[in-house]
Amino acid sequence: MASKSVIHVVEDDEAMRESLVELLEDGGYAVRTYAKAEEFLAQSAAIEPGCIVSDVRMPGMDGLALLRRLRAGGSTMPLMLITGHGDISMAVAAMKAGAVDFLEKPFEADALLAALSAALRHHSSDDKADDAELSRRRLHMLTSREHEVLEQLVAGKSNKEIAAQLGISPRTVEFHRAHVMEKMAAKGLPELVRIWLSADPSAR
Amino acid sequence: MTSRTNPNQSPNLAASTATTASASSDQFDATNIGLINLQPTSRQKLSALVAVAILLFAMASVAPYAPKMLPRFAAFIPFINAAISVTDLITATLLFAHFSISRSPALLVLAGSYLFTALIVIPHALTFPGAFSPTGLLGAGPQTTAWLYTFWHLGFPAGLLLYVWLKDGDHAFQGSLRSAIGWCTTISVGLVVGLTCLAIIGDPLLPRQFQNVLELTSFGFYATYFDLFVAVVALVFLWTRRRSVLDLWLTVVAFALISELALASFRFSLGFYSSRIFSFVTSTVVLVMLLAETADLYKRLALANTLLRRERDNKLMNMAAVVASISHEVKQPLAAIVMRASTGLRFLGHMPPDVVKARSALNKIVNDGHRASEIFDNIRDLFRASDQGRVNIDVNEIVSKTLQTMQRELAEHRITTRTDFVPEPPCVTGHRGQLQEVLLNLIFNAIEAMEGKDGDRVLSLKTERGEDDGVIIKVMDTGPGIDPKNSDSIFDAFVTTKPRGIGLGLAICRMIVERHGGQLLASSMRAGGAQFDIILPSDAPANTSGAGTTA
Repeated sequence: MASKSVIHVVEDDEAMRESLVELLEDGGYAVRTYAKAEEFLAQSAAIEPGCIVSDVRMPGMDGLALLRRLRAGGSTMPLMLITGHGDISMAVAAMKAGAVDFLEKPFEADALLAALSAALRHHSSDDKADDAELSRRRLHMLTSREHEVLEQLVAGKSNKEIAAQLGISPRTVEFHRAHVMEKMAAKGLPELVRIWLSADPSAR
Repeated sequence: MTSRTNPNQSPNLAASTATTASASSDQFDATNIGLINLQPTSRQKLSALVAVAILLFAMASVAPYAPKMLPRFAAFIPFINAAISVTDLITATLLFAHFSISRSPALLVLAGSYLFTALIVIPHALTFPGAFSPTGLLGAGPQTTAWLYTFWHLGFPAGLLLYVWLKDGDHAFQGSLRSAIGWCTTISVGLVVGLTCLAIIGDPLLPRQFQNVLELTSFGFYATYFDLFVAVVALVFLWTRRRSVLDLWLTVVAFALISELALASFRFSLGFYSSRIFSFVTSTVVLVMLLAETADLYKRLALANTLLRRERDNKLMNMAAVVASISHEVKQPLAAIVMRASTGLRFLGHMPPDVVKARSALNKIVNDGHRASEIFDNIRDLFRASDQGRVNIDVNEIVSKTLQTMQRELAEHRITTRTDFVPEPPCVTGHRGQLQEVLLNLIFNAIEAMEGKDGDRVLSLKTERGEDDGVIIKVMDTGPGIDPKNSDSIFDAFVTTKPRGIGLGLAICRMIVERHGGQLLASSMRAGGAQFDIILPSDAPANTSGAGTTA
């Protein structure tokens, strides 16, 4: 690798931070660490481009606020959120705020590395337009019921809430949900949100 | 040390605290909501007394003129009996409903007695000479109505006596409510039908009570006096063994019954009219009182239900917060362990395998594992009955000791401390360690809150005398304060981040303080900065002592 990509790790937990450094360095990245979001922001003007990996729950400013602050300041640097307490609405909020991905702790080394390389590749390439086209095509494959379920899902609703909303059983929602995931080729909810957003960026 | 950890402990503790708290604050339980067990208040006693006084006064003013004959008003009996039938039927229904709740056989008997009255007034009116036909309907003889009157006024006080006899040895009825009420109704109806038949068919054979349509024979008077005697016995027993609101009003009813029988005289005399009107008015008043008591009971039940539901919600919220706070603490080392293990696998997959790095990763995994385990140990220690248990605590001392242990951190963050101690603070009892933990947490929060602040960083600790000889410890900072829209939720959602290895969230702080029978409140000061009030009662209620034994 000619020049190492830089990964900025924002994580308050020392053990987690240290283990991330070990892994990322082994994965061929240069790593900078920050114990707090404020610490990162203070240096962000003079920061090397790359990708940010930030914990969500931290004392002081949390990861989501950091992401919003960066986007508001015009930064387009990809930011991946990691959290031990992810729920659907948080994942949706993160993706809407412009996170490249949303990983739930605990995750394995390879999962993080794969997500990171995808994020960096995605960010650098110009295939976003293609992505949008592909996503739109996938969206068209959904039945109207599946569409309804998808819309509720990306609004952060739980299966139970969706069932109540649509007047069907949670079982059926689960069934539709599996179909939606399959047709949209999404491995998890964060990805589903990302694909959905890429098809219709105005939804942000 | 690690092997003894029990991850279920804290949630259980949270649950047990809430339960004990609810038991003490909840003055409602199944035994004292029933009409039959409710003690009369002084206001109720007074209104019953007023009712009796009015009755006595009315009776006394009528009595001298009781034999005076008034115009014959044929529709009077059908009218008054219909009214009595309706009110007594409603009373019976109400009592059946109370029986269904309390399963008290005494109430069933009482309901049956009212049903009996509500029914027997029907043949009484139908057979009354001159009411519907000159000699009465149903093929009644001249004595039929009188006998029905006798049975009516014998049956009801007999029912009252049975009620008194049953009510104290009260054991809950075990069988099916529906069939009990069914049988009671059947017996009442059967009695009325049987007695009506007896009075009609037996008319020629039974002793004569009326010598003509209007005038009683001496036997008629004796029959009335016999009823009167039974009613007096019922009154005496009701009065001497009265306990509940219901007993109180039944005493009034018995009193009205006696008045009615005492005034009984020739038909269409002043005594005849007035006794029945008194009797009817009294039974209506009693019905209204019963309805009011029932409505009041319903209100209290609804309130108790709301309280219970709120308590349960609080408990769940508390538990959710505690679980979230613990899982946050535990998930961090777990996430690190997974990361390190999978990174270690990568190191071993290298060509050649990087054994040195893999070994170091494994060593760190061991450490992280211990750390996760320690978190549980710390949590357990926090809630375990500490060796010292509950002791008398001088809040001033505990505040200054806690501050001492924090000297270094406070100095590092350039925070000046101010203390304002109340002289001779009221004594409170509690777990020294737990209260110290709460203080430590609040101080750490304050330090964190003031971290980004340029101006003066002041931490103020104040002890005050609270209500009822309680104590308030105030922890105030000059940080940004609490967003008003968050002031309610910080105790649920906000979780402080490990001040000393274990992140005791505000949720746990609040739990500890509540376990001491106190309150933990958060507010923003007008001058800026957050204020936390630890309010402790002077003598912690007994329910908090159970906290330790569960651990």
